[in-house]
Amino acid sequence: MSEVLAVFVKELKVILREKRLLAILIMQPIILITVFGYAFSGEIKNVPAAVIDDDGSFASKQIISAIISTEVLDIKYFAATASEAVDMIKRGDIQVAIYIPEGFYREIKNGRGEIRVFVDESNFNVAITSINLIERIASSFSRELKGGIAVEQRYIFTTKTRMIDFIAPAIIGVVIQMLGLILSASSIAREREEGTLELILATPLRSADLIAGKFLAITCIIVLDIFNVMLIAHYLFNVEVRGSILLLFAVQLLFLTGSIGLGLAISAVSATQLQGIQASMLMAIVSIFLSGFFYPLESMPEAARLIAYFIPLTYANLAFRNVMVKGNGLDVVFPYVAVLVFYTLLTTLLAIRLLRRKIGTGGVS
Amino acid sequence: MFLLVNKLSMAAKLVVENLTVRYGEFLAVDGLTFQVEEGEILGMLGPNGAGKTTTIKAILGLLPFEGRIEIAGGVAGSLEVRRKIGYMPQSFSLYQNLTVEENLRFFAAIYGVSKGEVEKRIKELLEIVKLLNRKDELVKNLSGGMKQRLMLICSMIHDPEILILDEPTAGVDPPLRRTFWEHFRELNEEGKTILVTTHYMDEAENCDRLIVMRDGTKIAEGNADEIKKQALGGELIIIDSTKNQEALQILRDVGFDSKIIEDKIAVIVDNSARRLPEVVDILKKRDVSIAYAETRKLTLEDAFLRFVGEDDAMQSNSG
Repeated sequence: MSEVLAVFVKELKVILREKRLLAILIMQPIILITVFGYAFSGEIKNVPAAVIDDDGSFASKQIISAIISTEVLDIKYFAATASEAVDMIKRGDIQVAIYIPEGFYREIKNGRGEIRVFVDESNFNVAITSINLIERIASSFSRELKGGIAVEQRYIFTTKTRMIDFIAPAIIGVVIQMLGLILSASSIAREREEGTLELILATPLRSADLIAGKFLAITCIIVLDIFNVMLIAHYLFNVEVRGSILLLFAVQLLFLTGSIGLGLAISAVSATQLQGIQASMLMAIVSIFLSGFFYPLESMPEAARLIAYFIPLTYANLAFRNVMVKGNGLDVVFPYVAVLVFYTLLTTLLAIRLLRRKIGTGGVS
Repeated sequence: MFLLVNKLSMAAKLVVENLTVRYGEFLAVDGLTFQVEEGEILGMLGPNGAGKTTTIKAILGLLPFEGRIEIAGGVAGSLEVRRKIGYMPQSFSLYQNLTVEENLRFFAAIYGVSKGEVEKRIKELLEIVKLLNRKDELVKNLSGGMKQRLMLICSMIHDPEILILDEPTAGVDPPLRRTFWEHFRELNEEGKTILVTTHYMDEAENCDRLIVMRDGTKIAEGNADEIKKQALGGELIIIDSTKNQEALQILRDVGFDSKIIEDKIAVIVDNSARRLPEVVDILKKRDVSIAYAETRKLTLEDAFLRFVGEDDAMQSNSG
C-alpha cells in the first residue's frame, strides 16, 4: 500500500510541475464550459407563452398587460382552453401558459383569486423565472385591490431543454474522456521516454501497484476538473442536476475509469508521449463530433448514428443527460451504465494485458 | 551441515549459464556463461553492440531470455531478488521534475526501505556524493555529473547486496571517475558484489576479474594480467635493428612467434624477462646490429584492441 501511495504522490508532483500539461488541465474545462455556456444560455427573455383568459374582466386584462410589459414572456397565443395550452407546451410551441379562470375578479375580493401557471418542466430556469414573475405581479395586484390572489403552479413534462442544459453534461463527458486519455496516455510513455520505466521495473514495485498509483493520481486530478465544470455550469449558467448527484458522480467515475484504461492501453502501444497524446486527441475529437455532443442522437444522419453507437462517449452523454436534465434514476439509465461497465472492463483488461506484456516481468516466467 | 550452508552462501552471487537473447532474428547474446562470486567486482568489457547491456537487462529480468540466470539465490526478475539488486542504467533515468530528495524518497519507498531508516540513509548517501546542499533542487537543473552521482545513490538507497552498474562513469570527468571508483572499492570492502561495464581500460584494472565480450559471446576471462596474456598468448619483446626483415626471418626460423608491428619486431614469448637475453644472443650471432631490445609491458588497452579489433574499439570509444 505504501508503494501505491509513493507512486500516487510522485505522479501528482510530476504532472503538476509540468506547466504545459497543467495549463491544459486547468484551462480546457473552464474554456469549454464558459464558451458553450455564454453561447447557449443567454438571459431569459421573450419566452414564448400563451394566455387563457376565461374571466375577461378588467383585472384579468390588467394582469395580462402587466405580464406583457416585462418582456420576459412573449404572449404569442390566446388559447381557448387550458388543455389546449398544455398541448402547445408539450409540442414545444410555448414554454409557459397562464390560465385565469372565470370569476377571478370576483374572488379576489374574497381573498380567493386564482391564477394557474403551466410551465415546461424541462427548462428549469425558464420555469422558475416565469413563476417568480407572475407571483410578483399577482401580489402587487392583490395589494392594490386589497384582496388575495393565489398562483398555482403546474409543471408540464416535456423532453425539450435549453441548449446549455443539453450540452453541459456532454462537456463533462468530453472533459473526462479527453483529459483522462491525455493524462494516462502520456503517463507510461513519459516514463519510457525518460528511462524511468526500466528503472522502476528493476525494482520490487509490482506492476499492479504502479498502475494503481497512476490511476489514483489521474482520477484525483480529473475529479477536480469535473467539479470545476459542474460548479461553473451551476453557478454561472444555472445548470441543475435534477437527479441523484451520487448516481451522476458514480457514472462519471465509471466512465473515467474506462477512459484511463483506454489511455493506458494506448500508452502501452505508442512509442512516445507525443504519439500517445496524438492518438488520444484523435479519439477525443471523433468522439465529440459523433457522440451527439451538439445534437440528440435521433436528429443525426443514419450513418453517423450508426458510428455513434460504437462510441463510449455517446452512452456517457446519454447517462449524464438523463440524470442531470431529466432527473432520471438508475432504473432508466441502467442500459447506458451497462454499456459503460462493459467498456470499462474491456479497456482495463486490455490495458493490464498490454502493459504486462510490454513492461511486466518481460515474459521471464 | 552448518559448514555446508555457510559454504553455499559464500558461493557465486550470480550465475549466468548459456544465456541467449534474441531480438527477432538477431542474436544479441549467444550462449554466454559466467559467474560473479560474492564480494567480487566483475568488469564487463566490450565494444558497443557486444551484448553487455542486453546481458544486464536479462539479469534484471527486463528481457525474455533462454538459458539459466541465478542471482542472489533466486530467479532473475523475481520480486525477492529485485530487492537485493541496485541497478544504475546507462542513460540518465530519474524524474526530472522531482527534487533530488524526492527521487531518493520515491525509490526508498518502492524498494520498501523502512520509515525509520530512510532519513538516515538519504543523508548518508547525499553526503557521500556531496549533494546534501542540493537536495531540494529539481533534478532537471542539475549538471551532468551531479545527475550521475544521484543515479548512483538512487541505486544504493536500499543497501543492496549486488550492484549492477551499466557504464556508471560514462561522460563523467576524470576526478569524479576516480571518486566513483574509490567508492566502489569501499562498497566492495563492505562485502558488496559489483557487476560493472565500462569503456575505460584504466577503470577495468580496478576490477577483480574481467570478461571481454564481442558479438554476444565471451572471448576472454580472468584478472587484468591474465587477460593481457590471453590477448597475445604470451608476453612481448620489442626489437629494433638495421635489418628488421632479415631479423624477423631469423627469429621465425628458430621457432619464435614474431611479427612486424609499427616497423619494429614484436616477439611473443612465454616469459619476456627470461627470453630477452636469448633472443638478443641469437640475433648477434647472425650479425644483426640491434638498435634496442626491451620487454614491453602490455596495457589492458593493447589487449582489448587485440581482442575486439581496432575498428570496433575506435567505435566503442567514440560512442
